Amino acid sequence: MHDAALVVESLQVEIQQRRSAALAVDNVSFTVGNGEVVCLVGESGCGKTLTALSIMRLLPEAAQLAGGRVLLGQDDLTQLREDEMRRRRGADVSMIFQEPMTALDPSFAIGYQLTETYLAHESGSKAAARARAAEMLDLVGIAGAEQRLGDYPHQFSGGMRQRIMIAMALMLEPNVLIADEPTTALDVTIQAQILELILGLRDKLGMSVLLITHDLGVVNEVADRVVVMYAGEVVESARASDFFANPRHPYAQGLLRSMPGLTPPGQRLPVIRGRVPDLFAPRTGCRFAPRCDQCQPDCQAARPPLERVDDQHELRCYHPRPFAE
Amino acid sequence: MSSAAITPDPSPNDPLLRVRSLVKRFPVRRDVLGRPTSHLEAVAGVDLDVHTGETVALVGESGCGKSTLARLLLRLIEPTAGTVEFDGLDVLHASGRELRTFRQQAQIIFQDPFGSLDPRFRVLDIVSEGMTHLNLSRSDRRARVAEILELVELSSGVLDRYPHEFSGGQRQRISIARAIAVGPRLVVADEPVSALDVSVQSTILNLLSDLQDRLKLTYVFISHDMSVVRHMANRVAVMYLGRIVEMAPARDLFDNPQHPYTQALLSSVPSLHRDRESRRIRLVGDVPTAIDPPRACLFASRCFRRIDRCTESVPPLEHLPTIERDHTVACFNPAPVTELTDVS
Repeated sequence: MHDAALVVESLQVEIQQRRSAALAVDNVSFTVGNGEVVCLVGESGCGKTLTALSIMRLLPEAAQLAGGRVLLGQDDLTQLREDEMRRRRGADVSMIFQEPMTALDPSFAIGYQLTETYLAHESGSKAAARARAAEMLDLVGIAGAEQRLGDYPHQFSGGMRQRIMIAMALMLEPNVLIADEPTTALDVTIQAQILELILGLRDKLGMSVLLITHDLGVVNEVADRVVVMYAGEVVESARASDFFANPRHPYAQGLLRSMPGLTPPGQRLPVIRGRVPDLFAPRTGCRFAPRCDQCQPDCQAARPPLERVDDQHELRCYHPRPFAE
Repeated sequence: MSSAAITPDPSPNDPLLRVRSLVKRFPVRRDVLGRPTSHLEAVAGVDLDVHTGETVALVGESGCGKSTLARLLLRLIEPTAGTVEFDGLDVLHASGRELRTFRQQAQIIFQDPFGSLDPRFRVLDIVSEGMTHLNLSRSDRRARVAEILELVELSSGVLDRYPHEFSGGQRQRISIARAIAVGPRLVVADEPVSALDVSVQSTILNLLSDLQDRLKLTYVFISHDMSVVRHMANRVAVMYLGRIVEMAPARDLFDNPQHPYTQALLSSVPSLHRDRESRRIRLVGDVPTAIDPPRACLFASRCFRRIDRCTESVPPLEHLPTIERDHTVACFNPAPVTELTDVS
């Protein structure tokens, strides 16, 4: 039994729209063990990014934390004062965002952007900070790192900018790295480089990683554990090998089946009928029930709880069936 | 096909679309007199045949020229050199009625279902925009659009609604409806499902396949997603920095890729099938730019099978004696994947 690097417990995020409010993240719980890569999977609007942002306490104005705890080591991040939280960001938990083009400030040299956080946290000199920045750029595979500290974001390609973002997130060697779709905007050959880099750093620095993605192919290649979200809640959580061998939730099964790689060319792709439910619509019962082929009367009557089906596998479904491709 | 403008009686083996030596250069730097001194060669001499009823996929990474090529095929931009023939018509020199007929017969679907529909227009207006020349009465026009919406599985109840009222998948259906409304024979689909969620993506891919069968459409399908391409395409052209580096029937390309770039590209795709220990070809470095490219193989800087010749001249796209007949590759030192050893 390894220790947990990050524990998210009954997290609730409420979003406001005009005069109504809804839980966009509803009682989400999961654990990232030390040195583990956990993938948070789901489609647009399922609450995966809001979950990450609430761990960082960087929620947008329209959203607010409505309950739950985020344990990083001994501390509950949700209870920290803002100045205490600021000290933890970057140093203990760091986040990389999806768009490397917009997350870097175009008007500052990357050397400045890399050292800024470092200087705010550490008492070292500017020279020490630059040395550290060059070291990190080198680590993420940017050639001639020292010379390039004076360059601006536009002088780098998309893949290099994403690597700079990673270098920036790693300046203070955080225990936990949260990566929100870090490769979605990148080409596949570059994506492969970045994923390998993140895994290599995990091995080298003993970092724990929470990777948010919609790409089950990526999950299959990097995850130790998988947490599947649907309409704001966790519907299945399992060790990656178990999950891919035997996904149990009808939504997870549907997602896997609908991927083009599993159906012979020319044949119709299996689809999940219907659409993601409106967050603000009243809901009873299982949130996936209206789209589910295995739906029974009890599914509509009461919301199934997230239950342990075996040692490491949790599931929110009354009537799971074995997976047939 | 009533138009006399189109060459009559093409032989059945003639391709619907025939592209030869197509080049597009964009000036990127100019001297004091405004003369270009430096060019980005987005499309650098492409030959391509697309036959009626087939789906040809163009694949490659950003900057490889696949979207520029798509726009050249439809004459949405003018090429620097080369020819495009559509059913015998010289597209690049067509004008007047010939060009209008071509524009009806060759349509495009864009990637971004949010940016490609005018928010001020109703669905009815968007889909019927290309029908003005038919001079339909108002009720006939509504009826015709309702029929087309039915083909893309949208109810006629949406006729008077605006794009912002729809989800990404529904908007893509509206874009498809607009494209098929004028009765095209060729549809160029530029990353039609890349912006969509996985579960929505599969419904749109199914729809595109259904429409191809029902309306006898020919597709040029542009995508960076190899699993989508494998599912949809009959033939695949792999592009790298403006050139086609390999072209083959889909199955052949995926099972027996010959070009080192194709091999690296396929092995980089995250997959549900591969176990983690399986060998992967790792490319080093980023894609170089296509500004003033050297007369050499442009992949040479990242290639693990580079030989001296690769930096001295451009490898032609050729058929190799060791592979299937309609499989061509532009490489001086190709090898099947099974013969590759120690690539890392």
